[in-house]
Amino acid sequence: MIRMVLYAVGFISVTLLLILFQPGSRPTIFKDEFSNVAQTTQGPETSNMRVGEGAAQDAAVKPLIERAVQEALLTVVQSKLSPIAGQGLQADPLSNVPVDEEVTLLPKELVVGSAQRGRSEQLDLDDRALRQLTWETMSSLNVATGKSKAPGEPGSLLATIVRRSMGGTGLPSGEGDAQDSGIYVVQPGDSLISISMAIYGNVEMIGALFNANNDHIADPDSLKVGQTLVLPDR
Amino acid sequence: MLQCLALATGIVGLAVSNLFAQSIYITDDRPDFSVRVNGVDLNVTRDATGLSCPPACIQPLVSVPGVVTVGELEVLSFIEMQVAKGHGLIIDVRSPDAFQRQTLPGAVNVPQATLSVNNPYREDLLSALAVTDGSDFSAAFDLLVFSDGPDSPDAVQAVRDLVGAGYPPSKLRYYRGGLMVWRVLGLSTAHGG
Repeated sequence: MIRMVLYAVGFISVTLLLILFQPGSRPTIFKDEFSNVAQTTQGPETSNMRVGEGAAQDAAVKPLIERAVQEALLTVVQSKLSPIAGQGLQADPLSNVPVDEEVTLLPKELVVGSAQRGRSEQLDLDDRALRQLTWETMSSLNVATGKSKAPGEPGSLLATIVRRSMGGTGLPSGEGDAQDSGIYVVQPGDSLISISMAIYGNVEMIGALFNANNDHIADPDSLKVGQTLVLPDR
Repeated sequence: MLQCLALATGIVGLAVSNLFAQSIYITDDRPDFSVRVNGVDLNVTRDATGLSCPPACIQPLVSVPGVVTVGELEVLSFIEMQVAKGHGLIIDVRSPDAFQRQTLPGAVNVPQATLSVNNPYREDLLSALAVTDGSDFSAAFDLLVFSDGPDSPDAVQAVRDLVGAGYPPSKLRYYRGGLMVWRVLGLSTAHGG
């Protein structure tokens, strides 16, 4: 008798725990190495439910169930995706809508589309990654707005480096190993980004600036007022 | 003993019924929509393969009061009038990977995470949008913000963050349709970068 009670209690508590904390039901993002597409996984309840549904939804459904099947099917789905939206009347999940020539139904790939959607808020960014992302964004913005030249165009950092390596610009090299063209004293409110913008006029030099001062700056965020920074050549 | 068995089956039944949940929420607090009209019950549910709300909840038309929500024709005229003349930018707030794959023609990528309050480098980013000293928006670009589609919270959050940073709402536009509606209409897209 006591055994029955204990078994029942154990069973009920495990079930309740599983209902409360459904492992795997929180959408997680993982990268698919074949196609670099971020995919979301669904909880057990939705994936189990979908097994019984029609063939039209299988291509959309299977990627959510198993990763191995997912990768194989992704290539199949991708091959169907190459015709751009507009070839609407293929097998679509909205099959209970009466098909009318004047009604363009949503093409299936757009309903499937969740696999294609980039959800940036789900990027797990630590401070360093966020900084890197901000720098890259600023760089591309500056190129787009014309503040700095696109890589390769005359006046860009890349063009300068290429020219220098081909011996084009005779830069003074007689000032010791540092090859620096000056010193900058950190003011209140400065950051590597603002210093780079003020002195070089672009943000691409942040890396070079940091490298040239690696010995006394541990971290790009830890600039102290009054610190002297060695300014590298362009 | 019979009582224990009954209790156990009850719990199992509860767990199993959970498996049959099909629809996703329409908004955070609304799983479905039902109303009675002229004696007839009207019920609207949402079945979106592979998505869940949150985060993919359907967004309202107005993102932030004062920020105009635009459609495709307005986007085209924005490209013609503002972007081509250098006064405006089309901002794709999705991740860099999504931006690389496909985006609106002429768009620039500013991921939503970089505009959030949690980004300590946000002020530097705003300076790239021609905001001087972090608070002077007189020379700042006109921005048209878009994301995946009407169920993406990224664009709305980005607009909120920009307004929170001090951006004048009159300089912002929210393209609610996003890449999804742009593609459905057959308009051409571009690869990012």
